[in-house]
Amino acid sequence: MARSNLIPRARQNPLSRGSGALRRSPAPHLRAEASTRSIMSDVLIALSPMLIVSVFFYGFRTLALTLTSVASCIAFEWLFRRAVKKPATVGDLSAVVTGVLLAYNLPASVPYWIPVVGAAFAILIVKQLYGGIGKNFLNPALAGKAFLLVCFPDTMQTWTRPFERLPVLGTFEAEAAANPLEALKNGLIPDDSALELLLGRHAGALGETCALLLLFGGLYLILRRVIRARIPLVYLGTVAVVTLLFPLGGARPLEWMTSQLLSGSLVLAAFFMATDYTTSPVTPLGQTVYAVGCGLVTVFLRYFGGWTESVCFAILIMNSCAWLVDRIRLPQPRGGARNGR
Amino acid sequence: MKGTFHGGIRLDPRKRSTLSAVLEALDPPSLITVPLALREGTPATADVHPGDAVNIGTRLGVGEIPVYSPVSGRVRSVTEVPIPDGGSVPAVELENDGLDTSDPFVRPRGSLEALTPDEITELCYTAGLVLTGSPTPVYNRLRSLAGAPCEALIIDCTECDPFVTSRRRTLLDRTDEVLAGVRLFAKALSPKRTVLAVSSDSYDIAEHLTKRISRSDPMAVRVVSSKYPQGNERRLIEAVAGYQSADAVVLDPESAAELYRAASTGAPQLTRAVTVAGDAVANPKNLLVRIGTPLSALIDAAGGLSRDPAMLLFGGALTGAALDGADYPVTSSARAVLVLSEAAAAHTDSSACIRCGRCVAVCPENLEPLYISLWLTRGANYELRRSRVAQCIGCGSCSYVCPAKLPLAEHARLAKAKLLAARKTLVPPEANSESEVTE
Ligand code: SF4
Ligand code: SF4
Repeated sequence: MARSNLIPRARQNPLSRGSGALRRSPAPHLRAEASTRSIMSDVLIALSPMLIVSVFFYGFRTLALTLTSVASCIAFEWLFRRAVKKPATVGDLSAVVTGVLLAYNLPASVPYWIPVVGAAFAILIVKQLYGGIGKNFLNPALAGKAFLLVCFPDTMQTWTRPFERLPVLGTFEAEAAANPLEALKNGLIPDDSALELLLGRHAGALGETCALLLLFGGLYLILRRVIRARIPLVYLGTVAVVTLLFPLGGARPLEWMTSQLLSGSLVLAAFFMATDYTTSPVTPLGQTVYAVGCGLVTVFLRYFGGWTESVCFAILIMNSCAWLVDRIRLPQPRGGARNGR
Repeated sequence: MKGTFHGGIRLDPRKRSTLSAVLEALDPPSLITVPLALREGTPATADVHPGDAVNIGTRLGVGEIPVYSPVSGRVRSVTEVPIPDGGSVPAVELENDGLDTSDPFVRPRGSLEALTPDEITELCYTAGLVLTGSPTPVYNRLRSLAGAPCEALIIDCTECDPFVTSRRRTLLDRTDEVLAGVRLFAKALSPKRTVLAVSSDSYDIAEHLTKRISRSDPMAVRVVSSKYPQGNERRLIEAVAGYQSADAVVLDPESAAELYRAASTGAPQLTRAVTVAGDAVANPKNLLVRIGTPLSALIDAAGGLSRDPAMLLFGGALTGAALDGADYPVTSSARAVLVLSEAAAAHTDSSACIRCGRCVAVCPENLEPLYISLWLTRGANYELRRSRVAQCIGCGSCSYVCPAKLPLAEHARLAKAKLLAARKTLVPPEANSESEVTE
């Protein structure tokens, strides 16, 4: 015990009671590494390749729109928390994720005030008025998008053809392109081939088109155990089965199903928005019911709804049922009780 | 095929520092304090008075089970002492004369073969055997079936807690005693089968035990998952039997070794194998220590501290108690003392629940810790009663995984206590005696 001789006698033993060196807190005394911040960082990593592709398709305007959206979300969150004197939460990066997702749902041609208005609605009304992260019952990004869609239907539904790079500043005359969803709405197979849909070479919101990269992003999240495969797979599976069984207008079922799966924001939503922790159920059974519900409502709205956009509304509808769905219980098989211990 | 259970978490074992640290006997210091009761609130009386001379094996008193002197010397006082598991219990303070004279009581009882099942059960009581990690007499476990035929006797050879290797070393360093003890347990219970459950990350132990089991032994090694909390009694039954059988008994190898010693030499339980580890311990060790030795003596024997301590833990890092100092005695269920630095100890600055569902996914009892926590803080008693929180085994898996670092296990514990208190005021006390064990 040569060591203890090195420690000066005068110093109080940190292991004696009352030295104050030892912390007492309830068990467990070890915690996993993952934090809210690390989870949100993983989501941002999974989303980032899509941004590069969107710059490639539509020019740097998409990057500028995304940055505007993110900056507005951070600013609104910070200002609100400050105004109501609650601890700041921008450090958890959830506002950044909302900002990116909101931007990904916008057409590349929208003016810059659109994401600002969307962010204000998403962060102030949908998220913070309900108490901030974990307390909102609608996905902020989707609610922001729905709000914009209802208020500015024309701006929000003017699509640009890929490779028609838009200027970052100044006015431009964008030639309107047909979103594949419009063809599907009329019971027609869109002109874009399945490969074009997969790679994103078709008209759509700036971050929803390249299904392939979004799938990779989703896979990354699953491998990092940020999300479980259950919600996206059941959601996409439900859409696939229903569209395969009931194609509209005599289209070939398989072709119809593929176009349905790869068009619009379905893939982006299935992996990144339907899986939003706060607004989806937490029990395995609840998650399955919720994902099936998302799938059914999506197809229903695509077939019979008044908007070409339906994924957003479908998820918002199911969001509001999440807490209810969590209460569904199957009877539990239980082992016999033990007498004594 | 590997047995497993629902939920649970994968932990970084962090056992390297003591993996091959063989059990070393620690000489008892000149003053030790032996607790007479296993937990606070259970009655215990001392048989000795200040000034009495005692030898190794002299009965000091009796609580739930008898307690014996682990040293020879003189009784200094009969006092109360705070124990690491919480609260204070009656205790006997002993001055050790260092001679290790044995009491005449400690003598072999004749041949092992001649012991009847009832005598073995009785011996577990008189030898004062206690389960590892939980302050419960072995005797209670043996009698838990209350006469029902025993489907399976499971010896828990898993050790899923990070840092801790005292069971591993007992299995490797005292193999013959463990196996002889298991044979005695099997004789006492006459189970349909006897299983040594080894976790899948310790194939060396599985191999070692398989080699040492003789052909005539009616026992088998079974590999179970290395997830935490595999060592929980019901998880182990689930992993071995495939369902939650009510007619299985789980015991541990340390008690088996002690039972064999008691049967062959007549010595009651006097020592415990304790891992002293953690990143703030200079020279982590596995020690065989006398019950009543102060924890500070163990840490000194392990070379003292190598950096500033932030937490002193008694028991595992997941379910153990965080102590305010090392002036506590080693109890009869002790298995580990860990000292963690600020870098290794959990940070518990919690933020809001983000409803990620991780706590639900890992809960072995399939509870919903986030809702339990919510309803507890909101005072929603009706919801709490529907939450099945009474089934919580306190494993801490939920708190471990929570990215918001919420104290979910603590909330579940509080909720359970709250419901129990509410029930006690409604129901007459007799209806509540499920945990009582009469002699
Ligand atoms: S693990 Fe924590 S953050 Fe996730 S649902 Fe449970 S309580 Fe909420
Ligand atoms: S609720 Fe209880 S049983 Fe479930 S993980 Fe938490 S501590 Fe373990």
